[in-house]
Amino acid sequence: MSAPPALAFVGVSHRYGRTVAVDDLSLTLGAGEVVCLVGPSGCGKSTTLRLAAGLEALQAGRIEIGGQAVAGGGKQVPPEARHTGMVFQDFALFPHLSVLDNVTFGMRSTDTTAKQQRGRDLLERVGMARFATSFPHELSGGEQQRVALARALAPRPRLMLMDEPFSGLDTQLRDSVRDDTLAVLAEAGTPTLLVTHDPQEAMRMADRVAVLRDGKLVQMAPPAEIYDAPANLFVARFFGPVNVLEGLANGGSVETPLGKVPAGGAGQGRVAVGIRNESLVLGAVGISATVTAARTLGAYSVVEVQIGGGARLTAHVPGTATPEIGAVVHVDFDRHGAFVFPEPSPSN
Amino acid sequence: MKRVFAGLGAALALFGATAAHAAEEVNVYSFRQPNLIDPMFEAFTRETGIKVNVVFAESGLLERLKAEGRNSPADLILAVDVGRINDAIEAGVTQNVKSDALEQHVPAALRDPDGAWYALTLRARVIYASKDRVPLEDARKLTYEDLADPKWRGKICTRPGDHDYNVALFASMIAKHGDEKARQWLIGLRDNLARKPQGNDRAQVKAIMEGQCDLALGNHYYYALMLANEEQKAWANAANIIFPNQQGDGTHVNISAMAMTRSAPNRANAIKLMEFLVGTTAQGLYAELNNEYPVRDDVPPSDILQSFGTFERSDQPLTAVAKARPAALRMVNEVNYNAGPSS
Amino acid sequence: MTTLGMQDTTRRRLGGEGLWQAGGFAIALAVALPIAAVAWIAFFPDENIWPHLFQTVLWDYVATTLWLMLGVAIGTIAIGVGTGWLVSTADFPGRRWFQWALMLPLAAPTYIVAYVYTDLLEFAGPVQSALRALFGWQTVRDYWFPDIRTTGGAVAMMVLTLYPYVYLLSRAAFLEQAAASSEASRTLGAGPWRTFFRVALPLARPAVVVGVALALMETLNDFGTVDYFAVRTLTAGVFNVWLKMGNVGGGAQIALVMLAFVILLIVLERLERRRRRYYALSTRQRRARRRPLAGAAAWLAALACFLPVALGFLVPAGVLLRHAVVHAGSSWSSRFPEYALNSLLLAAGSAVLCVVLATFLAYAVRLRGGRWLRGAARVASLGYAVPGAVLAVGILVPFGAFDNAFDRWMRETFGIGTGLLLSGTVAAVMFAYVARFFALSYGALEAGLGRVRPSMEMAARTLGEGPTGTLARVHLPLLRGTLLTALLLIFVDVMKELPATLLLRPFNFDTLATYVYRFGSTEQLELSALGALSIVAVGLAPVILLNRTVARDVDGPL
Repeated sequence: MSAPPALAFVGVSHRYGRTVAVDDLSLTLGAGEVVCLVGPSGCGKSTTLRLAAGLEALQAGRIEIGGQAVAGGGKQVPPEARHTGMVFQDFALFPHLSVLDNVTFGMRSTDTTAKQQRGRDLLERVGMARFATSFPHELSGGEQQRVALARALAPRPRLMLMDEPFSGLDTQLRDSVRDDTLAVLAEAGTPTLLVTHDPQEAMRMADRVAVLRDGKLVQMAPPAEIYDAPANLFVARFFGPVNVLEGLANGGSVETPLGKVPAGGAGQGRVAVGIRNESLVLGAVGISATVTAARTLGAYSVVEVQIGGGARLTAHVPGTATPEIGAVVHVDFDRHGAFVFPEPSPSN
Repeated sequence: MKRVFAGLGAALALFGATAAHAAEEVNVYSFRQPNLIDPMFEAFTRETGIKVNVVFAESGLLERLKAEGRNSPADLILAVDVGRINDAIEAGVTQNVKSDALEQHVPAALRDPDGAWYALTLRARVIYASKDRVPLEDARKLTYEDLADPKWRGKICTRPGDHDYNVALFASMIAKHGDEKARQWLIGLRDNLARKPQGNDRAQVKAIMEGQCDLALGNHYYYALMLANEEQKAWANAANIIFPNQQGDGTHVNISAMAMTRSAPNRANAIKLMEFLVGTTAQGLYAELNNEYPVRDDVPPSDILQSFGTFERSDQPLTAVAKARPAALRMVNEVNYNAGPSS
Repeated sequence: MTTLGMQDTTRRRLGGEGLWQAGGFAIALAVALPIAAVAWIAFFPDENIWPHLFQTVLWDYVATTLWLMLGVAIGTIAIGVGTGWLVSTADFPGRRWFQWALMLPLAAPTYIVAYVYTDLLEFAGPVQSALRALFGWQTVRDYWFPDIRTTGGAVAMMVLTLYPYVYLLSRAAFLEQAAASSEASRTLGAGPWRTFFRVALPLARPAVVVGVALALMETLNDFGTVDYFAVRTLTAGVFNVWLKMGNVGGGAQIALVMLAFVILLIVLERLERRRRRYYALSTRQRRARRRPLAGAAAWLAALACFLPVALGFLVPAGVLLRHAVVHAGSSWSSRFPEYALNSLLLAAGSAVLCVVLATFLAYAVRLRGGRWLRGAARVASLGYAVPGAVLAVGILVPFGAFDNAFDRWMRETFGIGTGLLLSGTVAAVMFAYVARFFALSYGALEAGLGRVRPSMEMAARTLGEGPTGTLARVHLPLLRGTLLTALLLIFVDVMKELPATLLLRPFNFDTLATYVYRFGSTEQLELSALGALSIVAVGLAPVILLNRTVARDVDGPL
């Protein structure tokens, strides 16, 4: 590796009392890379972020920023000396300071004019220039988020940390703010670790997605790989609905109610086969099944079918045209959207 | 800690040094009101050029003396109750003073034989009797012991039993009659109370005027003070001042007194002040301004006091009274005096 | 997310904060020194007083103390919360005036108010005289009139002078409440009264509890009023055992029993305040609009606010003013300006000192919590509940011991005697004020810091500020209102403080309070009126200033 990673976690563990929040976590963030940490509530993603910022004292392992150890081995660089920028879930703007004063808060320069100028430039960049003299409580949520971003970028951090930065915004606003944020981050070239519970957001924002479960890193990969080659059923399900069929692997393939599937590395014995809802194809070929429910969501429609009084499947089909209930259709599936895991099928 | 002391140091600098450091001075810790002693100190300074520095507090000066120990700046203690003086002597914070002038002017009964303390003034604990409801002839025969007589049931007012003045009187009863008889007496007095003990001595005289009670206990000088006050004159006029036990062992008196501290850095000046306070000038001021009885036989009481007539004071040793004080307070609690009658 | 737990571990472990922790410990221990000394004294009683007390008056003392506390709690809550709610949520004639006038009784010492009312309400006073003239009654046996020198009377006096603590805090809490909570309640069909009891009051409860705790601690440390009314509380017991039985250790033991009462109160209060974090204000909430009242309701509201002001301030101040004018000649002293200056300097100086130390300690606790530091801070706050004279003895003993030990050491080592360095100095008096009123500043600061969201300081830290810079640039500006409130409360209390000042002061040193006491102790209310009125007058300015601060603070952006 030529340049050192922007951020590296090496064997980091953290517990609160008896609860393990982070369990032997290792990950790295490349220069200019945006990594999204996703996982369900309580998976340890916020703790990971706070450990990186130095807001939480490291208990085990090592953390490096830009190749320099900031925590571990008896070392604990305080947050103010780590040169990270952080955007908080509640934005944490200082209510007693104007927008511009918030943005210039972290700049160390003694040249007031220069600080003000950079502050105004950043506000301009996030489209908040005309609010420079306003106070935080006069701003909407989206406006506060943009000020918080400008404030975190102002001291030119080596690393940007964002904790659910869009969760306080309404859906309409969220997409545009996300895109603006990405653009600003890319322009500044600041490597970013972003925590979210929303898989779509992670897919949308990230160069690589890191999935955490119970404090452990389950998979870290580019969005397409996470989606197309999930490491396990949990990851597969986290990014979209999956039909799960049980089967027996034998001689490199698995027999399922829908036909044979290559077993991949799953070997012999009982396996679970996951097929994404949109990988099911209702058409002229395949196994015949009866439609038990159908409704349209606009962009696609949801159709539930039952195969000969046995397995029930849910398919997402394009368009708004849906078959009649009780109609008999043929079900086939796209082999790329089917995953075989050597684990027994979970009861749900 | 360092910060606090740094802060305190700064505060100290701000306010300047504390004890005055004039060449000639004497330092007094007083349990007694400054208004009652300032005139004597001023006269002393006029006469001798020695400055008198005073700290007045009603509670805790003894603890202050103990804590300051050998470095205490205080030379003299002034107290208004023989018990307080006695506490100081027992705590070992005083020293004996031998002075011909003091021994000559203060009668032997009103000073410690070794010179640990000297009385300055006398204050009689008297009975106030309603002019309307208690014939003067009968009143003149009253004794403290009579106050427990059931014939006064519901007719007596006093301030709370744990006040210094009452504690001293009750202590004198213990010293005189012994524990058991004194207790019976106190129970009798409690049962004769017209109301829950409350208010100060003047308030008891006022209660006589109001018709709440016929007899009340109080110090003698309040009568003079009330007569001199436009609003309170009417209260005093409703009552006669009676010196009890005139046909027996005499009226209970308490004293204001002085003692020299053990540290006494200005010992010579302190002796000068002590001698001055029992001199005719200061004794005259005590008599005129405070309406207390001078300790000197050759200094007459104020005119208003003379109008009360003369009285025999009890020759009970004051130290005996002082020593019975904790027992007296205990007894006040045991008979639940402050709960009043029918308790 | 378990954010609360996370902060705890963070604070304990992060670097660069050790200095704060050490400093915090030093402050807490210094302020708690008098309490520790009182506890030390309690180990050496002259004799065991408890058998005697158990058999005689102890239960009376305890019962009276509890009744007094109960009465004061109910009274201050009724008046303080009631008026606080009215002026912050309703509009009625005189509201703007009442919102600061309701704080005025804070400026009057309770024992002075007790003197005034005794004069007014006793048999020979104007009230009963007028009644007698009106109805033709002659003696006290002709009619019934409530006796002011009772536990009930003491409760009344304390409620009248102490309710402003509850008013001040509950008003601020009501002003802080978001409109949404009350509006939600109204849309759910609850009327204004139900909304008050089900929503507004529970939300304000932490603040009310703090106010009541302050009022009750003042109740416990008061000796002047209960002594004057001959109400036998544990406080009176302390003085009896100490001064009349000559048993300072026994007195200290009773004082410690009272502290047990207080510790119970504080524990309850802390449990309350812990919950308070969840009430932290979000920046995006809208505040409620005041509801205009009309007709009889408006005038009733005005009357409800007028009565406490009239009884707690106008009447006593009026009586004092009359006495002061009539007796101006004999109560004036040429040294009066000097006394006033002493009072002002002491009050201002110790208020600043107290707030600086409390800020340091509260921030150290926030940074690096820890059971021991928290515990020490709690003990340091207990001085408020100890009678002033007892606390003063707790200062005399360690100061005297230090002075004498240092003097001896200097003599032995250098042959120079240093005498008393601390004892009997203004510094000792100021130390007493800090030890006594620390609870006011620490409590305010702790609550104020609690309202600053932790993400604020995390933001500052990730933006490159260390702990000290974060305090200076984030917390202190946000806490301006809190700091001023603490300053002014202490200022007013120091102006009134008497027993510790009396005992610890240097020679020939007087303040307005000790000057008032010269006459007060010889039962000459008329002559003490001028000084008492000056205390009230000097206390007025900060009270008015305080009002403006609270209003701005709550209307502002926090």
